[in-house]
Amino acid sequence: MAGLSLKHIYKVYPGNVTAVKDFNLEIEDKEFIVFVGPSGCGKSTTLRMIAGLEEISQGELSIGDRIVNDVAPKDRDIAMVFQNYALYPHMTVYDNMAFGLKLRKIPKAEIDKKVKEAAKVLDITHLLDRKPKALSGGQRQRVALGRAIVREPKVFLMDEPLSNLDAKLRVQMRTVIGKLHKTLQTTFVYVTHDQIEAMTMGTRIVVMKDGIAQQVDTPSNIYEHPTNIFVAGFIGSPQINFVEAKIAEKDGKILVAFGDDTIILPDDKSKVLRDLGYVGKDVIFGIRPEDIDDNPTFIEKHQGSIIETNVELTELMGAETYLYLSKGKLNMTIRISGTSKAKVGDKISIALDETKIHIFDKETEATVL
Amino acid sequence: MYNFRAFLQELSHNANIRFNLVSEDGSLIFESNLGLSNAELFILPVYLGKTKAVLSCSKEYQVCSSLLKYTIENKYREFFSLREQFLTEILEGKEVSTDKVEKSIPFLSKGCEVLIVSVEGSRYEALNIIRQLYKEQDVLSSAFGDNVVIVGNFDDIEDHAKSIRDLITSDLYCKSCVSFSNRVYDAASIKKAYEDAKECMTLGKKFGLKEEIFNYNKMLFEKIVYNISIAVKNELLVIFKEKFNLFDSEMITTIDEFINCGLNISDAARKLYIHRNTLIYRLDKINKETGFDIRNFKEATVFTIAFLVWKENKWK
Repeated sequence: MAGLSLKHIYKVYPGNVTAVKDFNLEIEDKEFIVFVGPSGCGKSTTLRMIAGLEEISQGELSIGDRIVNDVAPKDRDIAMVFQNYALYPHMTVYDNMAFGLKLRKIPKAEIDKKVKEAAKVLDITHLLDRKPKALSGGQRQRVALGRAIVREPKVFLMDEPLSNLDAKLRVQMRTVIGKLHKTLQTTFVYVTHDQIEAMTMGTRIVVMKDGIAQQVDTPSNIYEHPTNIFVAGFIGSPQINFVEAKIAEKDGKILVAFGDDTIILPDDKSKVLRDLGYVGKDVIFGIRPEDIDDNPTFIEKHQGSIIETNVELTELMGAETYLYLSKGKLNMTIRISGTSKAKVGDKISIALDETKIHIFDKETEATVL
Repeated sequence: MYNFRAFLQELSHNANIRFNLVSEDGSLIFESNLGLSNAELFILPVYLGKTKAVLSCSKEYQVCSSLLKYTIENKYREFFSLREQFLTEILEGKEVSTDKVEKSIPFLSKGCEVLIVSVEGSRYEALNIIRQLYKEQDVLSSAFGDNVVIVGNFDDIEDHAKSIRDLITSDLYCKSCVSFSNRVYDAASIKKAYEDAKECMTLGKKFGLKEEIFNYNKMLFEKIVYNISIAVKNELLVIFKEKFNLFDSEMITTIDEFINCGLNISDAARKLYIHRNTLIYRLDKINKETGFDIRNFKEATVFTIAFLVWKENKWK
């Protein structure tokens, strides 16, 4: 078990293509850290640099107290699980899990103990005699995890391990990996493009874009306090609503004005905007779909932010409904109770929870509040 | 191991000495029903290449146990180095006798595939773990040229190729590519299968194919593009080079994946982890930049050829 330290890490490929730029991160021992971002953002490259599969162009990488830039990958005491981890087709599940240990000349009794323990943790004891061909996708991925577990590494590196599984299995395997982390009490570094995986599994999330870590924080902080438009838009489903607006002042109140509508901001937010000189400036405001509602009680509570809109589309998801609304150029998605009676073509009143509004600088795209 | 076991059987029978041979990890190599208690056994280590094993026989044969050990170790060395030597001879195109083929590759008549493994790290380390992987199998492997060559009877060749690549990645932590060709049934065809696999390895690397597993039967298109005349290639580069150079890595990956998915928007979007509308937007952008709508099969064909020519030129 060990923590990791990445200091000013760069990855530059021939032709001066920079895949990772000035990446800094301290990962604590036993932490479950998730790198998330769109394809090509540098998350897998960073993971591969930790593994030693990619050379670090610049910067310092430590595992535990040891700088490992020049340490051979096999001596870094890590184990990797990939997206398409191929099992050895001619071997049973038991032999697949034991093979890595046999290569390391571990005594037979110890191998047997480790394999059986790992199989128990992963609930695949009944599959030990089977060949990979006789396994389902989820079972295969469990075996792949088992192969990594038996090595008892200091750090587990997982690169999109669930991407090849169907949606239902992914949910199951998320729980398996979460439990595994609790049981093994080891550091996990996990790469995914899937924000739900990131939010549900990570103790901290690193949101990446264009080789740069945009924000490193806990899932709730990333969701509630994104540092910029990219993070706010990337995390959350349905996506946060962004609206181009202007900050105005009327009768001593600070307003967000867009189209024919205005929202009166609470005093604490008003003070920040006034102090930072945003009055009269163009901004982008963001509000999450669940912070808007058509419920009369909600509207009663948020009198300063009522908007009349048209229902363009409704999606009943079971316990909740997504309404896709429009008003002129304004488009919004809201997430409300599944019992909502709103129908396509209806004109409805909605209110925005002004305390949950995010304001972003239009030029820098950074969060103002 | 088949022929080696047959030798041990013969040795035990002809010398009239019953013995067991068990490898260090506990797997049984040879057993001739000793039926003795531990107290009656004489035990000594035997080295089969780099693998340690334990030879056990009755204490009454203790005096000749050293000779037994020498015979077994020597035969193992001779047998495996001979097989390796024999494979090298075949790959070099030398004439080999049918008798020798039957002795060294007894499983050839059942059908064999030839795999080439190109490793960025040490090929000897790769060879060592590949031998461990196929220790009990009808598989022959050797370092040949800059690569490792594997000849064996593989039912799921693609799965084996992937597992070899992943084994090298996860245990040696270095990149590797694996290529393979058609199944063959005689020694003369092994050389041809090797040449085919080698050609497809060269093509895969030249065109920077993402998968790192190159199947000869699926690379005819690359082969055709590779053999286009230099004049035509230059003509294509004049039209496309600057345009492709301007695309960022995200766009190149999009083109790669869209082509790999047989121009299927849904499949490509899923593999790229993007919404299909994002992919459609990118395809429109490609159309705008190059004048080629790659959703259209005919336009996609010319575009794909030009794209491969550009990649070949880039990787030179």
